[in-house]
Amino acid sequence: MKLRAPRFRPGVFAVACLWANALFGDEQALPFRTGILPLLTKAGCNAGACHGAATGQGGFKLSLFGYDPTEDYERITRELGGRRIDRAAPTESLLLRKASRQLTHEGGRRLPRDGDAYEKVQRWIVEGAPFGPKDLWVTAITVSPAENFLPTTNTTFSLHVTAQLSDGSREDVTSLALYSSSNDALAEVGKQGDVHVSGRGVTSVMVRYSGQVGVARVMVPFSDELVREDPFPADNIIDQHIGAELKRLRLRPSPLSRDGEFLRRVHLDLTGRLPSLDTARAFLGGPSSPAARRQVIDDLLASSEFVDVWTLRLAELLLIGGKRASDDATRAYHSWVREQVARNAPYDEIVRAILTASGPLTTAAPANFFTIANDPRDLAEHASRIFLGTQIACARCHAHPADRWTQEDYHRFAAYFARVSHEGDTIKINARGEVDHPKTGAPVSPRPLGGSTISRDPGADRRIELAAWMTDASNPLFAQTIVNRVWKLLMGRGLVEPVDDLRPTNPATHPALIAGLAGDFATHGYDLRRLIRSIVTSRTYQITSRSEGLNRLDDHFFSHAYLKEMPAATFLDAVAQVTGIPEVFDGYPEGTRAVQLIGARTPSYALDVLGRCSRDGPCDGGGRPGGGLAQALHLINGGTLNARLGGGIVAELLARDSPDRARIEELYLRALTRRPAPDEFAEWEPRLAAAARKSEAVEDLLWTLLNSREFAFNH
Amino acid sequence: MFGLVNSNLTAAEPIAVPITALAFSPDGSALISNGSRRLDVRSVHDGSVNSHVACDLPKITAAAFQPHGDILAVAGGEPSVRGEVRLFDWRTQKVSQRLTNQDDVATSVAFNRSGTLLGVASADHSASVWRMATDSANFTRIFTLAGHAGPVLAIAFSPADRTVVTASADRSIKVWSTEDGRLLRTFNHHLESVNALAFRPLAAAEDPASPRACASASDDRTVRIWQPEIGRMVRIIRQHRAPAFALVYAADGRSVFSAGKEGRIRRFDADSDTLLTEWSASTDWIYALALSPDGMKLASGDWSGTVLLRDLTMDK
Repeated sequence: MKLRAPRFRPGVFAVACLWANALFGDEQALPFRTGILPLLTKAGCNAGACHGAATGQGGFKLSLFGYDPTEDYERITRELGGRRIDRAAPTESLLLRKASRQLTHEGGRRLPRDGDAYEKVQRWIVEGAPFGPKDLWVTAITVSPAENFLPTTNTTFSLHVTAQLSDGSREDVTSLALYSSSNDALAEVGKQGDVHVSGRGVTSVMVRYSGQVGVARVMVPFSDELVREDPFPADNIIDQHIGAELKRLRLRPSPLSRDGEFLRRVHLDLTGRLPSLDTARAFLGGPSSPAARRQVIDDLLASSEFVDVWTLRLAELLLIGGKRASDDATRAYHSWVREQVARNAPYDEIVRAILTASGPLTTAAPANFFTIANDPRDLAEHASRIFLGTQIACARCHAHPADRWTQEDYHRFAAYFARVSHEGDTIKINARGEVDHPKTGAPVSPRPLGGSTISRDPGADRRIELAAWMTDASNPLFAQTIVNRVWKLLMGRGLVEPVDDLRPTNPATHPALIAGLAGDFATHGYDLRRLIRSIVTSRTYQITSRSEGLNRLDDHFFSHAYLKEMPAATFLDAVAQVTGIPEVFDGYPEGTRAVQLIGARTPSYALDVLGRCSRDGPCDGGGRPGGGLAQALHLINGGTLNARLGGGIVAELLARDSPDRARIEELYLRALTRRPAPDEFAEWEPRLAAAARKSEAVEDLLWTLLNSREFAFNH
Repeated sequence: MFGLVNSNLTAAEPIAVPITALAFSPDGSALISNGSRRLDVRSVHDGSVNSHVACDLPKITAAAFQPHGDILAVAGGEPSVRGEVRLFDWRTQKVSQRLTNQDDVATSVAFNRSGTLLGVASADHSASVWRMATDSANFTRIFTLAGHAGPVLAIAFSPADRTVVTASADRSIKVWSTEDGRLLRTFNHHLESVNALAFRPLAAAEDPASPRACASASDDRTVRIWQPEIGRMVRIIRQHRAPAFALVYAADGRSVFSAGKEGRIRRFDADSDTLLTEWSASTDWIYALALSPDGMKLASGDWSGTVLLRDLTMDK
């Protein structure tokens, strides 16, 4: 398609145009939206730190990155009596004098007087400062090359950006687009789209122009030496994609994990428990084989502990039992989710039930979802984040700077929740209720994010349409979001990070894999247990966490297993399990594990200091957000560990007439699912033998194991 | 049928400037509007430009005639550089005094009822009050009114002369004493920039000392009616669908006109929020309104440089 320069069709400013032509020749003036605004955006005038700030700067406010051309045009040409431009003496315009720093301007010199941008803005004012055709705007941009595989580092290449306009024409906007690299240490990008690569790995360059965003991926292999062999047998979609990418990146994966490492990892991931002593001894004593591993996986997937821990994970995702919820309602909601996990209900079915629920909170349990917020906008933000992995909050006030969502998209999506009300202990659907657009003050009709308006019965519950659209197989975000969340829980890192920020400018490390897994998930009935099984049976999941060679540099491509800090509840349960002294929770029978607690308000100092999810906001990290000095001091000196050292397993071991070596081995197996290494035996056997009080030495050993990184992490 | 007269661009002025300053001469014989570095003296019959008065301020923002006097005050300046009010002897159309010392454009100018005090608002966040000498037509600054956190966009004296009121882009209206320049109270009810102020004129038999209504127009799409001297907001007029920039009371004080971004002029009953009439006066933003001394003609000015005259007798 033919590229052409930006143009404007002159209107009523004939006299001014004659003057302009005398000054500038026959070049046509620029329309504001597609000609002038991009110049100001490129100059940084409407950046968040400048006039694009929420309150503007120096009394002059522009929309962030120019998302609202009409308003920007009015502010420049009309506001305060038109003080910012002078059509009679264009060079005297405040806009030009400030931007070129002829007058004091805290933002510095943005449009040098001898520059092309200055001349274009001046010409535009001479032409009468027209808005130009209202029906001309940028509909999309194309970044090329979109995929940039560079054989080695320390190279430079150029990006080219083409804008597609609403009239079907295309423009080269490379010099006007804004560029930002996700990882400057790997690839720096200049203002004109020149990318200098100085590291190895994969990153992306985000490109913005006229409200549209695009992305280019940059990939540099970790070595100049080709990897010729296939990383591992690839008999499933996960290993195929991970392996192919590792080969392309010239990374060799770590070997298969040892049986103990696998057993501990898969137990913690699938059940939130450590393998029992008997299980560990049996598995480590048996023949090592893929079949044996598959059997362990199947047994764990069928266990009640699996239901417990995956109920907890869904409960944290759905923010069940935050401070807004009542105890009875929380119990009903938790029980309902547990039932769904226990019967392996299809995920789309679960979400549809949640999004369309109404009635008393204790009987219509999934309706509790609507208690996490009162305002329809807040509900929309929760729904998009939780179920679509999409953060739309920015668009509440302005167009999302890194995504396609506009204020209209935001408020129309929020309109799906406008008729939901929380009255007493009941969620009701009202016949009335709207969300107003903040600028026009007029109510907006509901519309799916990125979707088209669906014809519907105006009297029907709007959420039915929303749930149908959201869980439809044609909506890739729905399946990709849950696949990515499950992947992160099991693999320690999402294919997209953060897991609630899926957008074109934040691409997945393995785009084809997430798409493939999501497609497979949808095709097979949104079966969560099948998805989990697919992941944990893969070689990718089962390789060791010990990195070696160049893959020490990798923290994105799964060349080795990543360490996962145990979540608070899992950690507390593991301590109780190893020490043989359970934690007691008020209102729960003895033996209740932390992962079985309902809601997040059961009093527990240990869980608080370990950083449990409060359910008042997202807890997508999976680790222990509490952390810090308080947690470290508590584990060293606090009661969670020290109160358990004297009895339980220590007393049991001492009561047995067994050699110290056996005691040491048992504690290692219980805590770390492995036998001690020779140097570890060499360290502890003499200590136990020489101890004046054997119990203290055994306690020291147990304390040391429970305070080790190897215990605290699922690896 | 409405006596509309459109005085559009003339060949002598190929580049239009937004009409922000409009004022009828006290004898009703002329209408003044701002041009590009000059004042245009227009016919009150058809709005046509009869003559020009040189006024080389880069921006001219407001104009006001001294009641019962010969002085025309013209506000303006160079944005972000300096502000100035230029006083013209209207008989000779020569500059008689320049009131300077502002760091940004003077945005609004107003005389008190007797014409002895002059209020000046400035985009430099300040306002000032000037007093005319008893033995000459020269004005001397008596107070600087400091306290607004944004450009001051409007200033008006109460009919009793006891207070002067300022309105600002900081969303507030401040009431100051004309005795000592002391801040008496601040109204923070508007949600956006406050652009215009107008006091309700005195009826013939009215006591000037009685609490007077003052109207304010704002970007928040409302016109609010206040009693600034007793600190009361009387009414909110919400019928605007876009920011309002200009206000003027009818001569009898029984109605108030407003205009703004919509290009429409609305006439409201001054004692309720009843919309009496409205009409489209521009396809662009209207910045200025002025009422002829006899109350029979309403002039409006917009961004495109168009001045429109409306014969109000046709509305009755």
